[in-house]
Amino acid sequence: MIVYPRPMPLTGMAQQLFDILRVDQAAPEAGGYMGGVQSGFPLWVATWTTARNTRDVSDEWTAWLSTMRGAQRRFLGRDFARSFPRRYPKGFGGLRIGTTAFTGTAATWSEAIDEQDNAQLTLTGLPVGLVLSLTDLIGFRWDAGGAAPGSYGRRTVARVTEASVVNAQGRVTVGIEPPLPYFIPTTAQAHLDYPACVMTIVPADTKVAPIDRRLVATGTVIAGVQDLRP
Amino acid sequence: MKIFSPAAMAEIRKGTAIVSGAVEILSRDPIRLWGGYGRLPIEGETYEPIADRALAQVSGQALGGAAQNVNLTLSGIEPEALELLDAEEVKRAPATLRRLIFSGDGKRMLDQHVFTRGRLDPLTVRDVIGGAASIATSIESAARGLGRRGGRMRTDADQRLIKADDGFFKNVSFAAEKNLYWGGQKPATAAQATGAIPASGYAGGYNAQLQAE
Repeated sequence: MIVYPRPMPLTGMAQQLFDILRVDQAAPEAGGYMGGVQSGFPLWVATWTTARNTRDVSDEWTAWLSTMRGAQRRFLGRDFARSFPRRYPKGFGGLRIGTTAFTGTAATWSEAIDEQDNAQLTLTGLPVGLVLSLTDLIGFRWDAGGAAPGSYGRRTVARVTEASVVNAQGRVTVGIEPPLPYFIPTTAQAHLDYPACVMTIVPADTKVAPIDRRLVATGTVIAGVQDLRP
Repeated sequence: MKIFSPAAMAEIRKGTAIVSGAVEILSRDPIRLWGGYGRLPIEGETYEPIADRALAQVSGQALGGAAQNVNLTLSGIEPEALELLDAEEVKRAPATLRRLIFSGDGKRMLDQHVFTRGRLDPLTVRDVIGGAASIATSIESAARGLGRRGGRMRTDADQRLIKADDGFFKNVSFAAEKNLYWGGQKPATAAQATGAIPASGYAGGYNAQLQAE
C-alpha cells in the first residue's frame, strides 16, 4: 500500500531548484531607504526536471506523478543534492555514538533566537566530529493530530546557514534559515537523513515530457510547494 | 489613526516585519480564519490557518480605506474556508478584519488590531478550471450605509410601487444608449439602425423618408 505523503523516487533528476519563497511588499525610496513589510511566512518551493534516464527510472517517475492525482495528494519533497549532509554523501556508514550506529536522528533539539534575529538550532546526541556544512538540511518530522505514532505525516526542513562541528559531548549549534514555525511540537524529531518537507504538486507548472524513441520521458518538470500544517 | 505597539513599530522601521491578516465572520457558527500556519489565539478565540498571503495583502494595501469596502479573496479553497460556501448563512454577517504584525523570525505576534469592521455583502465563489479556486467577498463598512437615502429608483416598476399611476419611468428601459455610425450602408429599417422595434406604420413612414432623401 502506498502511504501519503509519498516519498519521491531516489534518483533521476537532471535539474533542481529547492529554495525558500518569501513575498516582500517593498517600498523603495529614491534616497536608498528600502521600506516595506513581508507578506506572510516563508515556504519551501521546488522545481525538478527529470534527466535522460533509463526506461525503468522514467517509468517510475511517470507512475509516481500519476499517483499524485494533480494537486490532491501530498509528497515528501526533498533536496536531491542533500539527501545527507555534504560531507557524508553516501550516508552515515561507520559513524557511531558509543557502540550504536548513528541513524541520522538527533536525540533532542532546541532553537534560540539571537539578538540579530538569527535562529540558532542546537542538536544533541550526534556522533562526535560530525560536520554540518553550509546549506545542509535538517529535517523535522512529527505526527499529525490523531495519526498513528511514528507515521510522521508532518515535516519541514531548515537550511544550515552557519556551519559547525559536533563537539565532544555530541552537541552542535548551527544557524538555520528559515526559523522554525512556532507550532512545531517539542516531541518532533530532528534528523539528518533524507530531510524532506510535505509538498503539493503545482499543476500549472508541472508538465510531463513526451517519450522519445527510447521510450523515455526526458525533461518532465515537477513543481511543488510546501504544505505546512501543525 | 492606528496605534501600533512600540515593538511592532520598531520592527516596521527595521524593515523586518511580517504582516498577516485575520478575519472573523460572526455567522451562527462563527468562522475565524487567519493567513498563516498553525492555530493562532487572538483575544481568547482560536483562528484557523488558511496559509494565504492574500489576507496579508488585503490588510497591508488598504491603508486609510476605513470608510471604503474591503475586498477579501480567500484563494485555494481550504477545508476551513469551505463553510463560506454556505452563502445564505454568512450573507450580511458581521465581520472583523484584523491586521497582524509579526517579528521578522515569524515567531512572535507583536501587534494585532482591528483594521475594519462591517458586514459581508457580496460573496462570489470562483473556480477557474486549471487555475485557482477562490472565494471573494467584501466587507461593507458601516460608513458606507450612512450616505444612503431612500430606495432604489431606476425602473418603472419601482416607481409604480411608490405611486401606482406615476408613469414617469415608463420609457426608461427603452432609453438605452444607441450607436449610429456615419458613412455606413443605409439601413433598410430604422430598427436595424437603432436596435429598437418600432411601432408599425411609423417605421414605414420613416423608411419612406430615408428612401426619398
